[in-house]
Amino acid sequence: MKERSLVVFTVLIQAAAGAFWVLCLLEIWLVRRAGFAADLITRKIFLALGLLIAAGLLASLFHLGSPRKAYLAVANLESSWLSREIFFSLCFAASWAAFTFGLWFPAVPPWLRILAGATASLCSLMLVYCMARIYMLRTVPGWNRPATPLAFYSTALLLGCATAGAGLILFNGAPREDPVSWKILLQPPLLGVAGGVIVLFALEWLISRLRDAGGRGNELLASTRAVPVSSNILRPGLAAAAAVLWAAVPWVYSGFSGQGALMDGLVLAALFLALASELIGRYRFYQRR
Amino acid sequence: MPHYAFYFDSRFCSGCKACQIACKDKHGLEPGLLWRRVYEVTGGSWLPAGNGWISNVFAYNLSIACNHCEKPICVEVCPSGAMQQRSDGIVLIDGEKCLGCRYCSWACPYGAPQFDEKAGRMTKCTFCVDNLEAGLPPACVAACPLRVLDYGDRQELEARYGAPSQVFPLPEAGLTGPSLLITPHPQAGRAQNEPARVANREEVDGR
Repeated sequence: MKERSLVVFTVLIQAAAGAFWVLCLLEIWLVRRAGFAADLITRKIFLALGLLIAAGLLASLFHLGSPRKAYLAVANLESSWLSREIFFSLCFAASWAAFTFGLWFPAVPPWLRILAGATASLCSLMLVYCMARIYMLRTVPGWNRPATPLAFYSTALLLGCATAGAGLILFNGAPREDPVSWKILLQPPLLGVAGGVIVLFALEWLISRLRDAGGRGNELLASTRAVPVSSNILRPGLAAAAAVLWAAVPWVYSGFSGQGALMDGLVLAALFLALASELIGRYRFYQRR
Repeated sequence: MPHYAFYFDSRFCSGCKACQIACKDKHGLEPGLLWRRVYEVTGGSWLPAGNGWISNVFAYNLSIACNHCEKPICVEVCPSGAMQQRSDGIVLIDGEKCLGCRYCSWACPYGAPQFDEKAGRMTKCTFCVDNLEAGLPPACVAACPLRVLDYGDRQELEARYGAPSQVFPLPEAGLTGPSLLITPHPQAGRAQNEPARVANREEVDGR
């Protein structure tokens, strides 16, 4: 499939955007309860988002026939949603970098860090919106539906919750000197993340009903390719497995007794199942053109 | 300044694809690139009649290239500004600016922009602008043995052949305003009301 790299780009960037929103909310919640320790908990996760952003942007280059001319992609901000998407991608990456730098270096004034965080949040919101508008072409009925932006934002939130939750455990989850306090601090966010993932999987099922309803396609360009039957079964199966694992995360964590590998394995498996489900869903989206 | 358009008479097109070959030959197109595509549309079936059968099949051809639309969506969506429309309506690709992102090929409802793997950029019908400047017709128009293709100023073509028609399976003209006038085949109306399909999908599907 020619759009393989775009599947990876859109899913990873949306995951990074959603994780940034969830982590910002988490940061605000943690600051009220743990003060300066909030930065210590979240800064590694924010830094790790850079891998998602870099991987996504790199994947987008593989879609181009002439990657060396990629810098020209922002030349038509006036009318091209693709130009706008690339513009906001770059702005998000730059403001993410500035915000994360501020988390790691306390010498950066708080107001500057807040400004960078707000800019990154706004740019990532616009980025996901522009991504959706790229596909809402008046000439492509299969994509030009309200389900498209709904699906993109739900992917961002779902993978954002999964990424943030995995980061909480991988970078902070093992009980240390004061395991009880640590668990009291992290249990509510984990419950929130798990709840978010489950609700968003259910929402995505509803959105898929909207997407499949009605609309006459382009008879001239209708593809000879059929959507593989396996993806009709695999995606819901992966989504259900991911939801079950996420439901178990807070429960397992509450009984956690220092077995780091088990907890790490649980959240990583849940994250990868969610990611696999979303990648398959995005692949099917491209098949609908 | 003329606004160039194509005219196609579907009543007499035999589907010989001389227009398609002439275009490939003139521009040296790589295998898989079809700047002009001949669609074979068919429908109907055989019906029982007493002890025998009668044919109720219909079929016609459509020769479609780039329609150099009045509202070219390819120009709107191109991120680098490589897709440009001239004052005479002809839409051209600036190869120096084209990234090969394929966004125009998603947007175009006629399948006109096509990706050239070798060059790493998009290509499409140019209305043979070099021929026009020399006072010659586009290669496809010149090659048609049945003279079903014509070109010229849109208003002059409308005065000569009548107003444009909506023909299955072409998209609604209101979407992009194609500079294309068609005299439909007498059986084309059946395709609007009965099941019909493009019979040579694998040949014309460049995606």
